[in-house]
Amino acid sequence: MNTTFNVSGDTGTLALSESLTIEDAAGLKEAVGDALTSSANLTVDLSAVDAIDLCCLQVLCSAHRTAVSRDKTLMIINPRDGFRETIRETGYLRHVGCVDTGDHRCLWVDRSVEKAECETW
Amino acid sequence: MVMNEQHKEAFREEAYELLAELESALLELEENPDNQEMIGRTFRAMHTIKGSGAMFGFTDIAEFTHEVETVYDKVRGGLVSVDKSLIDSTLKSCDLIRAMLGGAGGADEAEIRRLKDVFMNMARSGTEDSPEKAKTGSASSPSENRSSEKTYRIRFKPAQDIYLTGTDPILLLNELRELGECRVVAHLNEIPPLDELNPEFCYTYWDIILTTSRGDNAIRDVFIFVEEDSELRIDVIDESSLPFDQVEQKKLGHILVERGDLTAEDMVKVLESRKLFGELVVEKGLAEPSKIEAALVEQQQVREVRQRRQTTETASSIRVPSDKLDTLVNLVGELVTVQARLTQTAAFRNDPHLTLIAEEVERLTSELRDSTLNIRMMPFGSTFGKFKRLVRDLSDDLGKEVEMITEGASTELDKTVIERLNDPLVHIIRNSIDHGIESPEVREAHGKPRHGTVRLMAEHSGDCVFITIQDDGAGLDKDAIRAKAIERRLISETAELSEKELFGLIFAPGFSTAKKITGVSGRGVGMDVVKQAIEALRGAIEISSRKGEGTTITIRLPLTLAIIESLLVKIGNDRYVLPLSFVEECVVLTGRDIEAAHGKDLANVRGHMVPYVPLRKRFELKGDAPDIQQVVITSIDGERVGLLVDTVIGEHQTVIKSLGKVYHNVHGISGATILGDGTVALILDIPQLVKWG
Repeated sequence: MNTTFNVSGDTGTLALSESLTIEDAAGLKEAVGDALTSSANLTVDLSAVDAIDLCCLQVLCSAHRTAVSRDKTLMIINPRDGFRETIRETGYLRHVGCVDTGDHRCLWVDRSVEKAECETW
Repeated sequence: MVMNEQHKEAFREEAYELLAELESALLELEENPDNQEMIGRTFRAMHTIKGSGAMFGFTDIAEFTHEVETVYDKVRGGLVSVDKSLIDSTLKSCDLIRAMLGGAGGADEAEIRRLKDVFMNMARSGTEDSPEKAKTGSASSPSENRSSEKTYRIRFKPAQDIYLTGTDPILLLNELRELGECRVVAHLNEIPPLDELNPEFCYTYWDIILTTSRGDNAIRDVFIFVEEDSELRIDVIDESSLPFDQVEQKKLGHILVERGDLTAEDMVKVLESRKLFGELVVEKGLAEPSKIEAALVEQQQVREVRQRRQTTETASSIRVPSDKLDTLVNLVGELVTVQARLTQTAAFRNDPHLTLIAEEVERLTSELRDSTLNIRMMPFGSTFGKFKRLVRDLSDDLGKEVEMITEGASTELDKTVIERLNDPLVHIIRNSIDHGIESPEVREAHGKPRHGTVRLMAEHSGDCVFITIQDDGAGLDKDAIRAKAIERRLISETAELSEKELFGLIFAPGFSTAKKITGVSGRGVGMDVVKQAIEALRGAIEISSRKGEGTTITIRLPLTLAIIESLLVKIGNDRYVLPLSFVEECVVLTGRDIEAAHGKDLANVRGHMVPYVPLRKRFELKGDAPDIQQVVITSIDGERVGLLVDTVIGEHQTVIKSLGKVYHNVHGISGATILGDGTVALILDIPQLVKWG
């Protein structure tokens, strides 16, 4: 799995590679964990990701929880159709976020209806 | 107990409908003998006729149908196979049941006994195998499936190490989706923070709401390899067999308590305050939002499935005698007339309040009129079964191979139009098969397929319906028509006729070109009667043909017979109504135009001469015509012919009233209507006026 990580100020951007499956889950956990340690606001760029499985979705969800518990932010940007499809297929897509995230936005809430959010999931 | 005649009549009506359905199922079954749905339909129709027949005192029908039903039960069980003789006998049974329904010895007793024996023998031959097979082997048909549809709630929590067994839970979800309508909500509350996360474990679990008719076992089959290590709970939350008034839509709180996601005490606590239940539960931290979401999804799916069921059930449940409908249409007709008077009065009084009310009444009346007329509409496809049967029987009798193709079954027409169209269509189809389609040998010799084809198509266009009967037979023989027309003195030997005019001769009274008289057609009573019947429906008929390729007959019909859009005109002090479907345009005719035509009834319309009928003269009305008159140009069978009137008043919605038997022989008038001011206007029969003009 290839990832690139750039930091600018307290914001870090982690760009993920094309396919994220169970074999990549451990690597993803490590990469997201490291990125979260070295930045206060982490953006995960999914523009290159065309397929993702349940294990990797769980890693992203877990990372988001971790960020919230450390009072940091984590958001995902540029989701592609394959990613959106998996969110629907796995039943992850929802209308209300998980209670633990408080004011932070859940990764899986359907924002397709919200305006001016084209780039953000 | 005295049997209520009304119930008997209701049974008769139902039985006639069932027989029609049965016939179309049988014809389809003949083409696809293994079609389980058609076998099921046939069996159920027989079963219903037998059951209701016995209930309403038609014991002869019940006894007879019992034998047929027994055989079809064996067909369902695979003990008796469908073949031509079975279909033949069953179709004959349909005819006999129809005759028995008519009562008073309408059915041939000997034939009933003979057919009963035939069916009893078939049933016996089917029993020789294994009688048990009949019970267990019956396949369920899709319509039976619909009635056994259930909605399930599935909580699936796989073992965390499910991936180690090589199973992807997403594939299981997709398998469930294949069983029916499915909504999936994932619960993520057990996903730990990163430092505790084993990336190859499954922490997610699901609530799935599935509506399917495949049964519990099909669902369990999906989880067969993981069931032991997973938490799996399958509950039925809604089933179609429950009557609507007995099932209450479950409230969100009840769903959560039922699922074990919320305790009953907590539910009561929450209900004491007055916010939205779901919000409160989340606010108080009593359940995760995903649980609420899953419960809401369940509510939504059950609601949708029930609504759908209710729509399909109510769609087929109203049966109203047609005379009640006729009364309703008549009343609406009266209302339209009164409404026109109200509008006129309001305009005359110049009272804004009254005008407002009149406009509102006008809007409501027009909606009421449209929906009332709509109730009388029936899909044309309801007659297809009968015509298919006709084609089948006729081609058997004549030793021809003919296939009937139908299109436009959903095209709707007024019930009366459909009924009155029956005889003309039977005649046309008979002609097509008898004179049109050649014998298989002749067809092969001409390089055509052995099978002839008759197409019956219905198509909606504006306020008309086009019905087309097309065959790929020999086509019309122009020389034979011409020779016959000369022989019958319909035309002179030197007459030069266009193709259209020549074909039009077929509709002349007493015309028949068949070389021999058969039981099917060729008695010389024919297409003229067909034409009259179509014209009586305010329709038109056209014929086109190519020798060796076939003949096409097109019938144009108005959508309804009760109310028509029309053009109101005035001649002297009288007003007349012209059906708008015939009208093409109106042109002005001055005294100078009349002089220019040198006494001939011809109008110059943009350089083309159009003949017209001067109605004032034709009706022998007293008084002089105004200097400027109007010609209403109509189109009859593609010919433009004008009608000369004093003035054109405008478009009018005409409620048709019949003139009664006394005026039956008056040519050129097809009915009357009452105008807004209470006076009567005659409705002109344009084709007849033109013909007589």
